[in-house]
Amino acid sequence: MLEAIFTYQFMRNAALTALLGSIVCGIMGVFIIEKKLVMMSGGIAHTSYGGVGLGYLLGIEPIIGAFVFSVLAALGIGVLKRRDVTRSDVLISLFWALGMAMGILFIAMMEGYPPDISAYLFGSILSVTRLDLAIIVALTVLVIIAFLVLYADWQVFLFDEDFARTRGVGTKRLDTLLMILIAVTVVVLIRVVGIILVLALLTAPAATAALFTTRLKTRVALAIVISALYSFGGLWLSYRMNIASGAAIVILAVICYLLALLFARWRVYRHRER
Amino acid sequence: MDYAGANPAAIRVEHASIYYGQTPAIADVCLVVPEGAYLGIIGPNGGGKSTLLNGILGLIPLSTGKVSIFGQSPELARKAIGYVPQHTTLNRRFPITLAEVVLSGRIPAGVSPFFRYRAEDRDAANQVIQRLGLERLAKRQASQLSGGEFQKMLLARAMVSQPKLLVLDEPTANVDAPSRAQIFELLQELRREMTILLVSHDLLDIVTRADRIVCVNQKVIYQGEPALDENMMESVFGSRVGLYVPQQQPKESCSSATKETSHA
Repeated sequence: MLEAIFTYQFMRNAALTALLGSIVCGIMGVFIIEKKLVMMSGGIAHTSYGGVGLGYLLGIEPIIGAFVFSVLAALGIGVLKRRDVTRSDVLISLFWALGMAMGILFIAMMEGYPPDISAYLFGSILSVTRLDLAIIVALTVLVIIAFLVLYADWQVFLFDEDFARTRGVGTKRLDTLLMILIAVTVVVLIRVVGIILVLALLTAPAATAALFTTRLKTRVALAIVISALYSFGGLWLSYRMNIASGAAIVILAVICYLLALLFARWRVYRHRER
Repeated sequence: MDYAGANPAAIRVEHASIYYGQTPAIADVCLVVPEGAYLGIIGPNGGGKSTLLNGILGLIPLSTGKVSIFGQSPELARKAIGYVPQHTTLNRRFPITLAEVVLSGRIPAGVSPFFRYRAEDRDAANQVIQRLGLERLAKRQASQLSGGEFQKMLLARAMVSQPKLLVLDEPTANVDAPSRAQIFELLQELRREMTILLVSHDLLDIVTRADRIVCVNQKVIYQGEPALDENMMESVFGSRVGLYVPQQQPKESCSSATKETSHA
């Protein structure tokens, strides 16, 4: 596979996308798990399908449409949740379904043959374009800066939001930023594993890292490494076995997480036995 | 203890109500806590104790009424408040050490890009850690602490900003007897330095230690010295609650509580 990366532009794009996706996953996966926002992330990811459909309909890059829809969904869910309009699981499921429905509608409104949207639903890391890559680079830099620059605030916010509020920490602004960062993460990962499979890559690396680390920075670093292993491992499997890359990455991630979980349980059991 | 003296109000709650949908969690609550008081809030589960506390802290918006802390809104008085939340409201599995948690009590207001704790913040955190005898646990993960150690860590975090008002929500829940005694011993020490507001489901803890109590069951049923009779307990809790009571105190009304401070 290494030879292919050096030889072919599309393989270089794929490798770089996998690497950037891993960085974003490592950082945001820890945030999403610690804040219990996994289902919300799923909702945001699926809402972005409406943007993909609109992108095709208007003739603009579908990933830009996905970005706009993701951010709007993240902000919409965030605002309605904060105002306690209704239960958050209801909100998430409605946004989830609405986004998918709008995507289907926009695609159906197109004249002629419908486009192949499976690259967005299930990922197609091997077909990442230069524009996709430029967007992914910019969004990854945004996530890294937001994580490092506000590290002290994130630490308090993730551990005890109520306490942070009593100290006057800008929890509303942090919450809004977190929602936007989740939307950004979803957009980066859409090209890697697709809208439907995005949840696995958002949770599996961070959850695996959580089994073996007890410090926030170490956890994020390990989650990045694990995410890269899953992504490149899946890419290699896809290359060798000629199977869909998104599916290969996700299946590898889930199997590795389950094995890690078993290993961690076994270690605890053996420790107790002693 | 006479609160109508020179001490100004640390907390003043005027006709505060908080509704969840159509249901009032607390209704028309009036309360005055003088500076230097050690006030306990008691009441049945679901009676609105924590809601009242959250309303006072500005964590939940009031549906009606007003709260002031040291004459300011809770938002403006935040530097003066140290808060020990219920252990159930925070992320106990979060990867953070005891020392980091205590230090986080010095986090500035707002959103602070590139913020790094200063040497004086670390010194203040170390001093509080030593005062509470937590040195040997400083590098331990919060998730690995016992219930008592965890509560002491939260108390240390609240103390590190040197607040004028310490607010504690069920600080001895999920805590063993020796830790519970240590926490109350410490609060006894701290009452000389700050106003204390304590919410607890444990009647005896409050009645024997606080110098003033408030009984809440959606509304304030009693506020005054910690002396209650069985009839009063029944009106608070809705059933007979055994408690030795030296003498009965008259019920204070909303208007009398406000009047009390206006004399100050």
